[in-house]
Amino acid sequence: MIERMKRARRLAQPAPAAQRGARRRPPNPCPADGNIGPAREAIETGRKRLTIAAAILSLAFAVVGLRLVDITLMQAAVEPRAARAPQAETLQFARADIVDRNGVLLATSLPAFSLYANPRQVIEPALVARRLAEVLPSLSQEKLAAKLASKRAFVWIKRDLSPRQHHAVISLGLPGIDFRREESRVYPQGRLMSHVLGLVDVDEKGIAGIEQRFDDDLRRRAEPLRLSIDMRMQHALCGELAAAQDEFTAVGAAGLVLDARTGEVMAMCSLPDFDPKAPMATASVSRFNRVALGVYELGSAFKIFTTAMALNGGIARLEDRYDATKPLKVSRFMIRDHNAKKRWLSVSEIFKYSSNIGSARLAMEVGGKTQRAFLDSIGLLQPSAIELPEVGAPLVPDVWRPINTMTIGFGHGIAVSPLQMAAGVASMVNGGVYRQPTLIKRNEVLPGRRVISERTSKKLRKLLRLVVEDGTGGRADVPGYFVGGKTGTAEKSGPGGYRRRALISSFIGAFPVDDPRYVVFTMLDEPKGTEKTHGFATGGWVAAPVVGKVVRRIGPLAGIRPYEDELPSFRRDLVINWAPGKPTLASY
Amino acid sequence: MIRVAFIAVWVSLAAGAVAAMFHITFEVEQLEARLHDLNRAIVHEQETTHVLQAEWSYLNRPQRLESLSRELLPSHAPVESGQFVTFARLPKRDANPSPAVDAPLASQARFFPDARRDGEGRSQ
Repeated sequence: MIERMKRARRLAQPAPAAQRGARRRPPNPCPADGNIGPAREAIETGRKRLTIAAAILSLAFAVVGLRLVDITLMQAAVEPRAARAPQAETLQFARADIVDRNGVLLATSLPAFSLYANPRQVIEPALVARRLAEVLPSLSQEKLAAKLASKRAFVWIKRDLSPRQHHAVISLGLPGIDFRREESRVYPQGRLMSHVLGLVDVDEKGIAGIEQRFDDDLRRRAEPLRLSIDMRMQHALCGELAAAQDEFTAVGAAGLVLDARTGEVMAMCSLPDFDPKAPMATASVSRFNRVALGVYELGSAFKIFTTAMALNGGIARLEDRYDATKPLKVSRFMIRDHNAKKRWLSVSEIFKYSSNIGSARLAMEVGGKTQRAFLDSIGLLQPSAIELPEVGAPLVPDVWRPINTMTIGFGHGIAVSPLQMAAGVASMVNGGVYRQPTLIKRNEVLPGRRVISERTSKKLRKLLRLVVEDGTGGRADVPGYFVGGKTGTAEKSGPGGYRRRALISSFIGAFPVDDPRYVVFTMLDEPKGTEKTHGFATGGWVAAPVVGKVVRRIGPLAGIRPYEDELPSFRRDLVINWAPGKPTLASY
Repeated sequence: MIRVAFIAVWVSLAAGAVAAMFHITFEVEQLEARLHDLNRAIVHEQETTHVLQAEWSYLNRPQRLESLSRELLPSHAPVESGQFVTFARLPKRDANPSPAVDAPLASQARFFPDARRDGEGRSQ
């Protein structure tokens, strides 16, 4: 550039040659005698232009130079030195783990390889298909050959190969065949948690259970999702339920352990269950969650609520007596007792002997409106808000007629899920506060709402203990743990009325009954009586022993100190005044 | 002469700087390659740990532990409520112990009836 400028200066000076030439040429119209002639003017213009060009160019070079300094010295290298360098702290799977309340791994994602082909690069589709089918016997050779002969650029051959298959395909060395690194969801606990965890599809998208409910959350979060489930309790519950299902050849079984104080679900089991790795291998009924999705008429366990309504509203006292001498006829229905006492029964006795007649009278005394409001307050009339997509809506009468009030009084004509039932009973025994059951471990206890008074709750606990000590639930008792509970036996409704031989037998218990920690529910679907149960398949014979066995196992697990002796304070409180009270003239 | 020496010094300095820069560049490259390898190894280890955690959880399935315990620890049984005792129930320590209290309440053999036999079996 400098050279150019020098040249320009040289050009601007009148060169000797030019002076010589000037002599030969016609006289210069503008003589070089100091006057500014046209030639000088042109030279001046050229010089100006050159200066401007030089300035612009030097500016441009300066900018380039500065930018170079800026990039090389001032800025951190933007591009990575090594392409896709692994970062030690960034091991991230597309889906977070799920763990139980103690951190036991329930679901995780493991790296897996999927096999695909680019058919345009496959040279001999038939040969490639044959060789692939040799190492992957689950593939059909014909279908594979057709796939590979297509004009597309990408076809999946097999997702989620095992390491051995992966190795076998690599060693074939086929062109046009490649792997894509993916993840596959693994459930180390197998079937044990199948209904709670649910399923993911081949692209790891949740399609059932917790996996579906928290699909987005699981994709986003880095730390594991902690459930409220305790694997040990889950195992105890499922094991005992499976044993009972076998023993009584029941078509299904369901069970639940609920923390009475916090509403946390400690265990939830529905049988039959399924293998989360091969969900379609079993009948579709095995994918039905009987605890949350199934709704059942649970029978006598509803008498807990009926009694609670009556006691809490001051409508009846434990000693008040009701007429249960003969079956109650209401329009075309007949309400009978199972083991009819054929006399007037106190409220305690109605509960203890599970009298349908007495409960129906009690319910009528409470009234349909109050009954409905009460059942609504403990979440029995709305689908449960538990964190599962599979939640059953309760079957509730559209019009609440007196006959509905009566039958609901002893648990017929209303169908709720076992989960709702357990949550309702938890609110009856925990001092009277309803808490929405949850499957997620939280640091703080969910806020609850008071549904009955502390005093009523205490009375109900006494009654529940009475049933186990002296009534139909004796087989649920465990020495030291003071189980209280209520049996429930209902005939399943089928086409054209109730089916006498198809029962839903259940037991809902709470322990230790003076200040319950856990509510345990078990239910058997269509159990058949055995020789040991003298042919009976009622709740007290088939479901109560399961609760007993479960409590026996989870009590020590939960660190609940068993009472060595009788519970003196509670024993004293338990004394129910059997002295006949004033007969109540219920007119129904 | 001074001019030549001056140039020689500068040339040698420049050469030294170039050599040092090349040396450092190569060293950095090597270190980066090493870092890359280490990071790759760490990720691999993390993956392995992850897989092993899944396997650990699988091997610790309660069903499996239960059957193993039944098979291998026949003398052990689940805790029963009767095995819990409060401190208040424990006998107080006597200043002049009677022979009855001196003797252990229950010998170990009562809880592990097979222990001695097993030990002999191994020593043979």
